[in-house]
Amino acid sequence: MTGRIGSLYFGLTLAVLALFVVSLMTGPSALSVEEVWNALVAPDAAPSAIIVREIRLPRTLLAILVGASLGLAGAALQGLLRNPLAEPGIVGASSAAAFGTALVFYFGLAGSSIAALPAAGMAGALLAVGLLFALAGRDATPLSLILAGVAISSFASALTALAINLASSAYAALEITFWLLGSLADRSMSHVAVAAPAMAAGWVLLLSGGRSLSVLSLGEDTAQSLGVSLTSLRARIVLGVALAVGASVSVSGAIGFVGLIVPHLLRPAVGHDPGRLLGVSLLGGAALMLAADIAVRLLSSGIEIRLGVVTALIGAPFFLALLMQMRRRTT
Amino acid sequence: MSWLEAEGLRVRLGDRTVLDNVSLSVAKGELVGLLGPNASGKSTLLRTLAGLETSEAGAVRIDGATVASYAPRDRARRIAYLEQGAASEWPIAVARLVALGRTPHLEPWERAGETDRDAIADAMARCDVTHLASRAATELSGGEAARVMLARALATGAGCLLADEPVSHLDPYHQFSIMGVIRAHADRGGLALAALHDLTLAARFCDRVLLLRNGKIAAAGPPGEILTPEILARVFSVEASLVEQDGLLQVVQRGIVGGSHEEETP
Repeated sequence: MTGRIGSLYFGLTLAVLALFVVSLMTGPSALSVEEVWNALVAPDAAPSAIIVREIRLPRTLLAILVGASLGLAGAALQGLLRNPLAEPGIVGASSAAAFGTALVFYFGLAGSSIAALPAAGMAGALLAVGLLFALAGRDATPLSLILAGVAISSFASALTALAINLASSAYAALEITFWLLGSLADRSMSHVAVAAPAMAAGWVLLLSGGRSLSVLSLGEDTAQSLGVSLTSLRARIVLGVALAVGASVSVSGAIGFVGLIVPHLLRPAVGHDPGRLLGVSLLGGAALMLAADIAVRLLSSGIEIRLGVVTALIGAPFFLALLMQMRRRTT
Repeated sequence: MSWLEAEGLRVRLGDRTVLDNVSLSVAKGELVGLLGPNASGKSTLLRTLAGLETSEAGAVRIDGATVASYAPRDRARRIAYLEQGAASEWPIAVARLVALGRTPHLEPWERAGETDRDAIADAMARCDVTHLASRAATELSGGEAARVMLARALATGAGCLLADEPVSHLDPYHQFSIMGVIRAHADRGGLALAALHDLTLAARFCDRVLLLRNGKIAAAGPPGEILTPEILARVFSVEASLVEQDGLLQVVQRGIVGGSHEEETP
């Protein structure tokens, strides 16, 4: 098993590296590997170097960071709630973070402070995950979890709609709406700089819960009898999800279902162990997000299809299929 | 020498007093059966001894110190708790599930070493689940699952084993094999306290029995002395007696006290 997981890490890392290069090559003007390489190691004033460094590199790095955050957060939430349907989007964390960022746009603060967006996003996500625990309780059944998530999600969406409704100008309303669709286009390195530290802190918190999440497979009582502190574990996961997802949403808008799909696909490869799922979901999330963002650029002509739209188009049917599969198993 | 001791335990769940002034002591090498009707407080007592429930009064001591004074991992190395109807939430492999029993011995980032692998292999061999190693834990039969979960508890290497109804819902073969493994754990110098419903099994395997009724200890001592018709009538409201056949103890149940069909008197 350990050898198999080792080669899985190796394969996923290779995939992320390969997609990283392809992502830098892909766009309205296709670049060769050589041009990308030159732009990275020996930058000059050539248009290709500027395109790579100013436009494609921030976008690509954000795809990695956001994908990794969402994949890891999904895996951690699923492990904590012992439920394969848990996901930052489905439990309402994403829409609450989106509402937080919408407020920043509404009050016109996005330009004034670089930290305003991530801070608002994290506060929203923290509120949502905390509320989920209060609503769904500790032994959340799939149904109570989804219902609580739906409630939080709809409430956050309603508040966001209110913000759009009351927006002072058509431009502000449009800004919020497009932000919510989720995209990685036109981001700069300052977005990367603002989101990366919060995400990294979230990753550390989430990854530190790995062993405890494995033990939690045995149920809460047995896990406690093996020395796991549930209070500390819950606090770490809730805070970690808030940091990682809040920061993600604040730089990319709402991109759903990555946290659902990635852990689900990788779970059999790690023997269904929720602790071992964390690290591979981080890499898998990065790979999936890179691939999706490359696809968006290849498929679009003229108006670019938003990344969040694509993940939702793929993710929602996937979620339904998963739900039906679970129903078959329980009946 | 008693290794596990409880003195004057009182536990309230909500506004109900579930345990009231419960004291007990179990020595190394002993297997003690915890008997009593439904809702008599057996599970709560085991949970309190395991440190999962806090007592309002009284204390649990293991290895000379109170359970509450140990760090969770130190406590987990001394006390193994086998939950009633324990099951895995994910279809992880049996070998991995048993290995989770080693958690209290490992630092968060540490990998299982030689000692851990030996303890896992030994626990699996004792419970006869070695051949199930690569099976998914959620796809086992009831008897297999019970043996795997017991192996998980034994893999902790803890001297004290607290087992909550380890043989409920199992066929006679598995009832005997599981009780045999627990008996062997005590014979190797450990101690075990097991909540049981089958009086004959308790009489056959246990050194002593502890009878709980309404959260209080109703009787305690060797099965031969305790499982008398009077005490069985008082605690379980059944007409029953302990008989010996071919040198083996057996509880023969004739009916319920007074012939009434109520499950238990309040």
